[in-house]
Formats: sequence, C-alpha cells, structure tokens
Amino acid sequence: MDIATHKGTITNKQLLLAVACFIFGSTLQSSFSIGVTKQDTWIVVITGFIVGAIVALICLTLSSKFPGKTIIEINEIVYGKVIGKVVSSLYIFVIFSSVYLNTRDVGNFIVRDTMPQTPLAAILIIFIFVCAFAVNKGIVAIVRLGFLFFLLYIIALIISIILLLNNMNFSYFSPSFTLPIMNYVQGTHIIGLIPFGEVYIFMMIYPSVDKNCKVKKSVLSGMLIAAIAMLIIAIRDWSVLGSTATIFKLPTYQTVSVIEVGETLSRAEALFSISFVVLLFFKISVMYYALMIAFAQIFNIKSYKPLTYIVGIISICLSILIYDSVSENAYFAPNIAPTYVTFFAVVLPILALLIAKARGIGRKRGCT
Amino acid sequence: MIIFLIIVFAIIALINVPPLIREKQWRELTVYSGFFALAVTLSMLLALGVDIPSPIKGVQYIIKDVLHLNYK
Repeated sequence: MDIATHKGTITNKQLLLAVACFIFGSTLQSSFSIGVTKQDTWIVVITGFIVGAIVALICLTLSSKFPGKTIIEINEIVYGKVIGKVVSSLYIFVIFSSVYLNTRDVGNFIVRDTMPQTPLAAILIIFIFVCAFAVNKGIVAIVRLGFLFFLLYIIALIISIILLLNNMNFSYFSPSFTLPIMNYVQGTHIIGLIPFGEVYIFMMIYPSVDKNCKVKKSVLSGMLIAAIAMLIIAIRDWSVLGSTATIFKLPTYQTVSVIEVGETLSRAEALFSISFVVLLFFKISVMYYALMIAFAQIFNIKSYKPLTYIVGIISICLSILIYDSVSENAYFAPNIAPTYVTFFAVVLPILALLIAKARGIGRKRGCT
Repeated sequence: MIIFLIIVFAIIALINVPPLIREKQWRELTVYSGFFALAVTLSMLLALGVDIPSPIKGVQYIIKDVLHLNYK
C-alpha cells in the first residue's frame, strides 16, 4: 500500500463503528467529569455532546475542503512549507501525547486494580507491543476489529444494567441544577473536548475512507451512539454509587463491582476490565496509526513500518516519565487537558479554514 | 538492566535496518537513526534513574502559569 496516498478501503459503516469505539474507550475513564459535576453529570453529557459535535463538524469541514488530504498535508497547503511543518509538528506533539497519556491510563488501571505487584513498565511494554503489531497491519485491519469490540461493549453494558437494576436509586439525582455555573461550563468543556473532541485525530484517517461524501454522517452517528452509551453510563454510575462516585478513580469500575446476584455471580468487574483494556487498545491503535502516518508525511518517507516499534519504545519511556504520581494525572485531565485539546481541535482548524478562505484555496462545496 | 536494553535494541536494529540498506532507502534510514538514537537515550536515562523533564508538565506550565487558561 502506498503510504503517501493510502487511498481508501475503509467503508463508512466501519468508520461509524470505529468512531463509536474510539469514544467508548474514553467513556470508561469518565472519572474526571464526575468529580466536577457530581449528580448533574448526565446533563453535562448532553451539552458536551452538542459541543463535541460542533468541534467534529469544524474538523470535518476542513477535511472536506481538501479531499484525500490528512491534516499534515492540509497544513502544508494552507500555511506554506515552513510554517506548515511547524504547525504539523505541534499536531504530532499532541497526538503523541494522547498516545502516551492513554497508555499510562491503561498501565495505571492494571497496576492499581488487577495486578498490584507487576511493575508498570512490564505492562506497558506488552500493551504497546500488541498495538504496534496492529499498527503495522494497517488501519484497515484495525477498524475491522471495531465491529467485534462494539458488540462486546454493548453486550457488557446491557448485562451490567440488568444486573444492577436492584441497586439503582434515582433519588441520588436530586437536587439538580444546584452547582455553581462554572462547574457546568467546565464539565461541558471536559466532555465536549476530551472524549468527543479527540475525534479530530480522525483527520489523519478520513483520506482512507471509501466515499468521502458520507464521512460527516458516519462520524456524527458514531458520536451519537457513543453519547447515548455515555449518558446511560453516567446515569447508571450515579444511581448506583451516589456521591461516593466522586472519590473513586474509575467510578465505572466500582459500579460494576457492586454486582452480586445470589452468592454465585459476583466480581463482574472482570467484564469491565476486559472491555476497558480492549477498547483502549482500539483507541490507542487508532491514535498510534495516526501518529505513524503523520511521521511518514512530515519526514516525507515511503513507509512508516520500520519506525513503528521504535516510536512504541519512545512512547513507553514517555508514559513512564510523564507523571511522578497518580494525583498529578488526576489534576491534569480535568483542569488542563480540555484547554490543551481545544487549541488543536478548534482554534487551529478554524484558523486553517479562515486562511484557506482568504487565500481562495480548497474545494468550495459538494463532493465527488 | 542496561545489558538487557542493549540486547533488545540490537535485535530491533537487526530486524529493521538490513531491509532499508538493501533497498537503498537512505532517507528512511536517516529518519530511523534519529528515532533510534532518541529511543536509546530515553530508555537508558530511565534505566539509570535520571530525572527527565516531562513534556506534559511543560504543557501544564504553559497553560497554567503563562496563559492562565486552566480551571481551578
């Protein structure tokens, strides 16, 4: 496959499932908004989805102006050769940081909750090795897994809801709308930009999609499905845990561990662990692939494949050294990360759109 | 630990480099060497227990202390 053009073999349905699974991966790490918006998290999920959809539309508009081009190539066309490379390296920096931050999340989760004796590095090495293997197989191989993971996640979600019906207490939701207004703004910003806004990474993948015309519809319906799942999770978690949900690192995990049917069916959090690792594998593989394509295009090389494992090693090192403690991680995600992502998912695409309009480049409307 | 790292990097180089030389992809080889050097340095420093500045803390510094765009 020619990397410079990488013309598409992803169908729109696969793109839809890929976007949904990509966001499912983040729904399991929902702890950062629950600490901010407490019982009103479900409201913030709805407003966050609206914001996220607008962000995705901005990125999609930019992509549809330059059909068949990734964000790295668009930067070069819009800003010119030198400034384009600078902007592209910023994008590489942020995609790279998404890769190692999410890898660290997987490591933290496994070390904290399932294998406390294992060193972090051992888990990260195994995990990244599997991701690198998937990335070397190409994006088509990765998105084909989307359907399987989608089913797995939906089935796990439905089973957990049925088993938790007994434990739900909807009086935990009152009083609604009593938090300071700033908390709703921050909550909307977090949900809108971190799970949904991260879809800007798909700007590296749209060129591989078969029919560019229907991309908008597939991405938005994928996001809608994920938003519904997220809403259900927000309601389920709060109605089971109540205000104790704010003290846990992963409220979703604690919610599932409440399940106990008779004496036989308990410890269902294994179900959650599996879907967490599997969906984050999917999410990280997509971002990792986007990163490799970005490297290939910025250095103008034919194939990213020899680089994959080396970049994997670098991201293992970085994900070990970024934080000294879990509490630093817990501060970064709700307070700094939304602004950080906003810059790349909203500010830069709008700037690129304006410059493209001013210079009169890019396709006007409609699609081929 | 260091010896283990050297062995692993040697194996990776042995797998990746010969095809690049055989197909005379010099540009790829240059980029590859750059990444390889970065990976070796980072992991050696980590293995030796040297404190490496975290890129995420740099981002945090810019957003929090320079731009003041953080929450809380």
